[in-house]
Amino acid sequence: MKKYVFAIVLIMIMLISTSIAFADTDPNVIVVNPDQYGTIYSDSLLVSVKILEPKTIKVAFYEEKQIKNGVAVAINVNNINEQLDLAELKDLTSEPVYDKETFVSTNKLSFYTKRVEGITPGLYRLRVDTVDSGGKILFTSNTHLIVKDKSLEPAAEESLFKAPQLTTMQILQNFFKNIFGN
Amino acid sequence: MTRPIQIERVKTIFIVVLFLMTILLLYFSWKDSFLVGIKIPIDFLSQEETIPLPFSEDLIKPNEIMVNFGSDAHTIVARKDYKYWDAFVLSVSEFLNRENLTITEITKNQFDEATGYRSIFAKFDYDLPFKDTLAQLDIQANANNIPIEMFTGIAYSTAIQDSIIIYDGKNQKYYRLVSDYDLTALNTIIDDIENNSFDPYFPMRVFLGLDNSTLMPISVKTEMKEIAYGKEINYYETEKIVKLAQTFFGEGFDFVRKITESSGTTIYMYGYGQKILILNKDGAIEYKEELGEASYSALSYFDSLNLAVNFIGTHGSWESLNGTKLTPYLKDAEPIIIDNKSGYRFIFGVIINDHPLYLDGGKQTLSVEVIGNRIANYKRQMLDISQNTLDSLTNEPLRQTMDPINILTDNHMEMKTVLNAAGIIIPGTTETDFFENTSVLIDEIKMGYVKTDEMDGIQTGKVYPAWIFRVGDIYMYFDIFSGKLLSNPNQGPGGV
Repeated sequence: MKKYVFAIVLIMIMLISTSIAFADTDPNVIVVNPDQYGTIYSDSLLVSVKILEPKTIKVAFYEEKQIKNGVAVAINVNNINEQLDLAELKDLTSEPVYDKETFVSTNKLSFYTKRVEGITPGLYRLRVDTVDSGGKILFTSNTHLIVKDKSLEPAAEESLFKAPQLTTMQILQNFFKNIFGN
Repeated sequence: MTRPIQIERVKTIFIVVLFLMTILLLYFSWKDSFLVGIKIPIDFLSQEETIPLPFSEDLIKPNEIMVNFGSDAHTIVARKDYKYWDAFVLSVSEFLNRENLTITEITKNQFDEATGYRSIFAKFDYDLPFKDTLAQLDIQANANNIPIEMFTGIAYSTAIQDSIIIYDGKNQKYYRLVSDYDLTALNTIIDDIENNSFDPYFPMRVFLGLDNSTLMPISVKTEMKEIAYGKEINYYETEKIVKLAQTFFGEGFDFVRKITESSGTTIYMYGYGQKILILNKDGAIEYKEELGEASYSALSYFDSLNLAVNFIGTHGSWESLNGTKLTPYLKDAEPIIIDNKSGYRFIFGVIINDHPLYLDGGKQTLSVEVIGNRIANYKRQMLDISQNTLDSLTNEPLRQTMDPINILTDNHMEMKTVLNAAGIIIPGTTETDFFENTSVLIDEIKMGYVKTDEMDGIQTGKVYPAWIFRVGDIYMYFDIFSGKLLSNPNQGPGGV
């Protein structure tokens, strides 16, 4: 019984925490890249945000670190593949890779793009705020990104260059081509 | 009959015979020659000068070398860095020479998956005959059976480090070649490019969230600027025109008719149109020759190319007539048939300080149609640009260009109008629909110079730095700094 109660509480906490994160997102500001909890094996990234109305956004990119013994350390993401693992991390602090860059869109459709370089393996967070003319934050979205070392990129699957299974018709076609040519 | 009368009759007969022999001699010397294409021009070049001709190997370079660094980060190698292509070819030639080379056909999906990893893909805008190309490059491929007909691209992927992939664009086939040669030198090429400064490109789907893998650069800095040009030949430069015309008609030039039209076009015609040279008022030159009933013998691709290269070298040269040196390259090549005789059309472009030059209206700088061992058609529109201007470009300060993504957002309705006019209907009801449905059609985004005949109704006499967006054969040019549409679009192979 206690186990069931604990599981229900844990699920509720996770649901509520994610709902808090997403309740105030602007439907007209869409983070195209990176994907939420996506993984890249690179030291650079293209941030792309689509804005569907004239408005002002502020974009910041942080590395999430954990405080251990009073020191902020990069999170070891090599063994973390689950979104749940990341959501359960505690004692986090955000170190800006770049902080609160303002982009003003005057069109019905525009894109904020920025190439971020020199990022090291770890957990990152892209924060996009929609602000009014006075700078007050109206909406916020947070997108998490896992950066792993290039050497950890999965190798091509063994099946990549296995000969495709030919249909009977293809086998017959190949047979006649071999005899009569094209 | 008295003796003086006999002597006069002999003299008369002798003169008649001489006259007939003269006519016969003239007939044989003016008869169609197989050597028109490579006749050395009279008085056009100093006898001491050698004719500068580009080597086929220098003309035939990939139109694009795409490098994938992984995680969607790419670059397109600039022409000034084509030393990497030379190193790539060196490794591939050793790879192909191994005794245990095997060749198997693979699918496009397999090719796409392989090149989704760290990889290099060098692509041409035309198809080359595979075996002839190897022979031309003096590369021996040790395979019992080579099923590859044409060569349009070549790729190496770190996902399959024992392999090279050949792409046959004509037949839409992909081939995996495997040997025991160590290709890790190609990993080094990718690493080297990545470690040096490069312009980053990403697939459009990363920018837009749409299904299009065309590479798009983030904004770049460039030294490009507006450049004034002149015509290499003007209709009033009589002496220059005559000298040029003589290169086409040789010793028969004295018997060529000259027609000057009210538009300013000058036409030189030999016989009843067997050979025609047209000098347009805008500086464009065209030469046409009837193939007639002269014996025909087909030439190979590279023999045809060499004939075309020689012909250009001896008829106007590879520089402008005023000496401007622009770097030529083979832009397009395709087989053609004229009067049931087969041959090739070669289109050559020129590079201005590492960037291709485009002429709007579908025009080309140099175009040659080779049928057998004859030149059937030659078109030329070389621009005359001050050598000082060209030399100074490398010292120009770098300026930030407009982001191509913003050119797309600012001009997608103009693009829609252009594409609709060309018969490509963009579906949708909202502006967002039109943007997305236009964006998914973009096949290529490049930087280059564009020569427009006029802007806002005014002859500009300039070439402009531009972002070029291509959808199929439709090219749209936008000012690289302001994003303004530069000219009406054209259909057909763009670039010169």
